[in-house]
Amino acid sequence: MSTNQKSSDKGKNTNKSVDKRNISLKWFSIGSVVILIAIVLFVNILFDAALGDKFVFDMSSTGQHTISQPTRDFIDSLPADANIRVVGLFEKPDTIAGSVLEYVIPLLDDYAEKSQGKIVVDYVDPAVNPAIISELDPEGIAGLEANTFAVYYNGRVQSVSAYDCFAFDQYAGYPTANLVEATFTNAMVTLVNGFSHKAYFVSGLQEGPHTQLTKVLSSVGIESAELPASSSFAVPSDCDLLIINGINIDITEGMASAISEYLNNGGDAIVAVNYFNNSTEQFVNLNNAISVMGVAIDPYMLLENDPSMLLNNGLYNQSLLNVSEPFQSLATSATVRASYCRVVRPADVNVSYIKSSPVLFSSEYATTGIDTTTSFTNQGYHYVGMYSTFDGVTNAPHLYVFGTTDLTSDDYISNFGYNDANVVLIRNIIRSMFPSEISVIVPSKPMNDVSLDATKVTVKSVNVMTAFLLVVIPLALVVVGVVVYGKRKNL
Amino acid sequence: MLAVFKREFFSYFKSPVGYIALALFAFISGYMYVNMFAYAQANIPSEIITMISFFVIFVPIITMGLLSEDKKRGTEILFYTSPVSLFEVVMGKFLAALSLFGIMYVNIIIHMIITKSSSGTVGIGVVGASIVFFFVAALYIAIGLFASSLSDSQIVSAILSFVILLFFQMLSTLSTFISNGITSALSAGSMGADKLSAIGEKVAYAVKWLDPIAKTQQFRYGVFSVFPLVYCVSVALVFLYLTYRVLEKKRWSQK
Repeated sequence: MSTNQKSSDKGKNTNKSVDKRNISLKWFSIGSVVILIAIVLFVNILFDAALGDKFVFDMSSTGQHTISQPTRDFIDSLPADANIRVVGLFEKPDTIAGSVLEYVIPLLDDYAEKSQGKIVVDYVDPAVNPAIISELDPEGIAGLEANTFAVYYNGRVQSVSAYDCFAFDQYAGYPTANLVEATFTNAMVTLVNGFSHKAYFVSGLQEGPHTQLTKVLSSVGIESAELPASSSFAVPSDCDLLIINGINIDITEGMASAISEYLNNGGDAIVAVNYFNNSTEQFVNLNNAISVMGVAIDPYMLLENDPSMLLNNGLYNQSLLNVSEPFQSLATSATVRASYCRVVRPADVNVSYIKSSPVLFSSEYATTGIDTTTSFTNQGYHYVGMYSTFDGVTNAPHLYVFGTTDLTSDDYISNFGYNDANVVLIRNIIRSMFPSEISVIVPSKPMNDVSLDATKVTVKSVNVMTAFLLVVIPLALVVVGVVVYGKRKNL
Repeated sequence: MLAVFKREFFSYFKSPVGYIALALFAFISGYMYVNMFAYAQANIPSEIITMISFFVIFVPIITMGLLSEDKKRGTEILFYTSPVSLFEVVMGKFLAALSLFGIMYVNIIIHMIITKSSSGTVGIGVVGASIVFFFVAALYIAIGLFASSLSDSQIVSAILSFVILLFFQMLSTLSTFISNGITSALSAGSMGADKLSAIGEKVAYAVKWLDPIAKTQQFRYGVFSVFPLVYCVSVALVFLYLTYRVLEKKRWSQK
């Protein structure tokens, strides 16, 4: 064998050895990656299944997963042998993350845990046990159906849908307030105590939905029902509160007479209309009805001109309204927000026993007019909400008239949640009208507290923020980047 | 590792990349904040969570050059000849990119200061959202770093990183499509509707289970859960290890 052949063989052997080493390193590499992925998957699945629910800490200021003091007080007030049953009409899911049930099931567990047996929570799938629905609701009054909850007490039952336990932003669709506890506690309270009052919504006048206001009423122990507009319209005798909310066409003369009579006989009512929905509607008959209480709704729109009262640069006529002194005790803020308001004013009646006062009013710079024209005049303070009653009369009526629906509409309440200043004000107004109610007020839990002091959000401050955050900071960074690039590009 | 970290971190400020990323972040977050501010609202947790959905753009920008640039310039050889382990190189670069997110977060702090000065609330939800911000950033940067290790072209790395991140970002959406797809595909067989639906739901759940964003939704409300953080860290470790293996491959690969 020549020397060349020997070195060639040696080279081949070395290559073979390197090949072998490469292959073993390759397999080690692949194997180690596969093993690591398997370990990570195993650890995660194990952690999620065994400990996932245990290592959850509710540190929110509002306790999304914890029942609040009003609910605890209510539970404590129940007799020891009380037995409220909450039945989830579905199989309890293995996982609740990412669904609305993640706010419901842990909270219901907290009810059960803290009630010491007074509240029992279980889950029965009607597909597996069809008798459960007839067992809870033999007469089919509550309309129980699969994938909802039934709250049962002493032969009475209420249906609760998990999706109805939230207020949602009407446009973006995200939840703005968590009403899970408020909804379940209110259901329990009304099952135990019954509703204390009944409100009727006048319907059939192109008004918007009032699902959210119905929930507000329910939260203060008031049952809601519809009162359709018709030629034989009459206010029912069990009506404690008549609500005309966001109607877009006027009531008829017959309805006006019935409502006048209701008010004259000591009935309570809330009227809310705005300018936006139907700017040409004069509400002549409605004005006739409420004129017995010395209040009238103008056909004019309010235009706020004080920059410190304007929101969003006055776009969409968004502005602040002042809450008048006597009603500030019912409000959490000295101002509420509104847009496209009608002016409400004392009616031209000269009756001494009528006592009316403003609830909401503009700045002294506000003007009024028709939005299709530019001539807004009559600068000065204008009312957008008024309260009226009869002085020195037993069983006096109470009437609140608002030229805005930003306290009562589904749109507003859904967008801003149940803890918003407007919503709190209307809820407290209703509570003040029915001081003897027996409801338990469970505040909604804000998904996040987002309100700023509206008085600090002026046109000027918004402009400054825009310039600083959108121009100064990004532009400064870009300029520095360009300078650095210019200096270093030739290095 | 500290030397690698310093080199990478300061390199962001020696080229326009870092400034552009910071400016972009400042503009987008500022735009969202001003929009809320104009309505007398300041939902900082929501802003932070929304910014996380923009990571699919920021992370490729920040990570595209981390390893591919070294490959292109040939300075990659320093990884193997310097007295630092490859894992220290990977971690140094990873932490440098994560620190840049820390600088970006200063914008959010500015928004918090404005919110507080406007009598707004900076509650526990901000802490939760911030935790999610950094943990998801860590996970995504690990993915971006891995993508950067696969090519010597920054553009290819950025696109690869973008595609993987987009896949992660869309897991919840994909889960619905997959569920529907499986149900309709199996419906041709003799299986009952309930069983089909159950199979579809299980598969959808399995896919959704991998979604880090869906797991961390509750943090913004101040409800903290350890599992999503364990998930983010462990998956980030997998990608960091993959990156390490890609670099290590050069030691034994014949290609």
